[in-house]
Amino acid sequence: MIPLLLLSALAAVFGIVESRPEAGVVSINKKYLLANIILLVASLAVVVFLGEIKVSEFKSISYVRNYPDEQVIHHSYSPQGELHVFSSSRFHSAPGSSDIAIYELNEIPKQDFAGLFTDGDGPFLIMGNSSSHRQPIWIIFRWRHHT
Amino acid sequence: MDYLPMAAPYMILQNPDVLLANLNGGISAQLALYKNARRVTIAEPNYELVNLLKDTPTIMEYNDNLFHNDKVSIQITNRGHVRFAHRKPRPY
Repeated sequence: MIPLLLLSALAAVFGIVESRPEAGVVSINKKYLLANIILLVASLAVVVFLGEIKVSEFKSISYVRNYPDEQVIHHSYSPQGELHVFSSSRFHSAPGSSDIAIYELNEIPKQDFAGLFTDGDGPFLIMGNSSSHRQPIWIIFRWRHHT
Repeated sequence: MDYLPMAAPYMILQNPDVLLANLNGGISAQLALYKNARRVTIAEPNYELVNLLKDTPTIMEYNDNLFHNDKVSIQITNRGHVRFAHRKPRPY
């Protein structure tokens, strides 16, 4: 936001430049320049002190921020939007398998997944080191098969 | 991982060459390597996702450098299914 404001300020300065080619003079009216500076400072102050984007509490990323062990392991901006990657022991995935089996577990095994959120939407699960998945949640499906 | 439905093809094929039509956060590639695939080719249309998973240091550390494995290659394309369709069938 601040780079955009600075670009706007630059454009505003160019907008108040007066040029008189016949006299070979380029000048800036001091009153307009002062007004521009005041507006720039006021805009920066508003952005810095009141410009925080408030994400809806019902957006997926707001839920993850309430996980007790959540940790942001990556944050960046891309052409697709703002990217957050969270790690938490509460991310689980067993693609193609029913999650009904989870009710049979007394304790949910740890899985190593991180969640990617694009502009607060997600998670898109990123699998961590596969060694932690050799005896993971899917063991329950074998157990159910034999009972 | 042995009990996922997506592990079923590896019950039939030993050390296959694998083509994945999407990156899917790496789970399909991890499974292919776990099941001793000879080579894994991933067709993924989303460049930003590839960049994030393959070249971001924190994520590389997190997924144990999965996409720098010699057996794994990624192609940025939204035509993974076309690649698959044009491939010559292997004689049995």
